[in-house]
Amino acid sequence: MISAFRYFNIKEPSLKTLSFAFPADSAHLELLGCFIERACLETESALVELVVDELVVNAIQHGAANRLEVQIEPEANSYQVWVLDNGKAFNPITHAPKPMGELREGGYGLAILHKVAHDLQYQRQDGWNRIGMRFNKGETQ
Amino acid sequence: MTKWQMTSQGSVSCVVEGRLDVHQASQLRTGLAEARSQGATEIELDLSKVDFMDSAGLAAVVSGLKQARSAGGELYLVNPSSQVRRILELTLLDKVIPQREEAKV
Repeated sequence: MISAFRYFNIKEPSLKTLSFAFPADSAHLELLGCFIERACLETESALVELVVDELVVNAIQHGAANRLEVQIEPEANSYQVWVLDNGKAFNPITHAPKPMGELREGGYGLAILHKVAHDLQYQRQDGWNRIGMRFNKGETQ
Repeated sequence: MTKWQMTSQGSVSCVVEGRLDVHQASQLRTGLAEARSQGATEIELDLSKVDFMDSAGLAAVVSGLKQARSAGGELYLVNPSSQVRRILELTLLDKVIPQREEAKV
């Protein structure tokens, strides 16, 4: 089942967290892209989609996740984005990105993540990976 | 959607439309393999109508390029869309994957 909903921040009611939860099936990537485009109006949403897509596909293909959720928290000058999956533990921060500009068929997803996203965070909680990152409003790479 | 057509001896024009993500990447790989099996060595890959490409799509393009070169041929991207250009620039593959503004084959 796919669900999209909105949390309210009790401390700051004007800030709302948007959430998109879906089963681990890459057929939902296009719908996820629509969610991100509408949730990140003040930044280059295509970059957010690209990074989130890479993490989601990685969790499905290599992490054996069966549930995923993407949360987007609009903040004053940025978007805090969380990608959650219930697959095997995977901390992208400890994996060094491979060099760019090489004619190889793998390893670009992680390199793009490190290049584009700010303030990467990783938490493992109750069998879920929580990967956090920030995208500044009005920023293009 | 991926479709290809042989335009002259050994030359193929391949067009991809919509998303080139983990789903469509396998279709592109299949299409390029079919074209090679028909004797194609010079491949023009038209990505002008691709509105999203991820690293799986990129890997399919790189695979096509490497296989074309191993057969003595070449693969050219034709008029890539702005989103495709974006990921090529981010990954610095715009410096190593040949591009054409217009189709020649």
